[in-house]
Amino acid sequence: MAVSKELLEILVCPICKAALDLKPDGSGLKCVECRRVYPIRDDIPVMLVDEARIED
Amino acid sequence: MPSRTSQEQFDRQAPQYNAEWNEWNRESLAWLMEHAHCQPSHRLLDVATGAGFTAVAFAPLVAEVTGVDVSAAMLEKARERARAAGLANLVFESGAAESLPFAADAFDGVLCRLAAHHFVSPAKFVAEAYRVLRPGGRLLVADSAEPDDAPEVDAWHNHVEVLRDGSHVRNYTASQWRGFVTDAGFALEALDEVPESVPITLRAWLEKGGCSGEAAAEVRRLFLEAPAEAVRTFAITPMPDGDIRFQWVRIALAARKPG
Repeated sequence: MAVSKELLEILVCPICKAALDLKPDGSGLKCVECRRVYPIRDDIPVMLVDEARIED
Repeated sequence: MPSRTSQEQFDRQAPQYNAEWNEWNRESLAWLMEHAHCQPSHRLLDVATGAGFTAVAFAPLVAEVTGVDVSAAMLEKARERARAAGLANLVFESGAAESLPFAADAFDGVLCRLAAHHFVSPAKFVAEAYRVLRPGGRLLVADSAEPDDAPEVDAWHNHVEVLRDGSHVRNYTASQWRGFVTDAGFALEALDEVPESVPITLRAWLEKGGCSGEAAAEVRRLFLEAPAEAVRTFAITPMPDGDIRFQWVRIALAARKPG
């Protein structure tokens, strides 16, 4: 399991500190407020602003 | 801003990263362990975990350790270290110290060892550590430091550090650290200078920073011409084989979030 339920409970967007949704295909974590998507690479969530992109 | 980001520096250096370098300051690890008051139920965050040396050392004492770093290549090293140690209670994420991707009150302890000199804003890091700690949780920091009230030593040391590694921002004094933690709302429990038993040699130190050629020659010249107060403070000693031995000043602190 790449990103555990426990980890998802404490991970937030590094900018707005809002909750994140795991994308259905498991490729990233999307902020419920700013819509930034943080990629998951090699099972590691990349929670860096410079590596996120805003998705509708 | 530093001339090179920590992400660039450590992605570049990770393949050569030598585990023996972590032996340079085992004393600060022992100090942090002694002051952390770990419980088996605790969840810890290790900020700028790098190759995971500190995170792996704490993992057997607690329920879980989360390690964050800006360098994906260093996190791969950390995961290898956790696997080799047979530990399953470590998780790693890419994240920056000044904007931590964690909910408020998520951790019982925040660790940061030998890394804060790379942070663009240690004050922001300390404020973020305060936010993610539960009330009563502890911040534990160890880092290279400058002596208080010694501007010449401070200037010389930070100059050679930046020449050797462009992602070095600066080493702070004990007074500055006291300010960072108390300004953020922490109650400082202990702040000590931590002696080092193993001296560093200039060749190994330059290698660790990936510093070679003209920059390395300039650092070497600066060591040989170091101000007398810097020679005393860091015990800078030329050796018969042409290398130079020295000991940096390290400080460690423990601070508690009230509540």
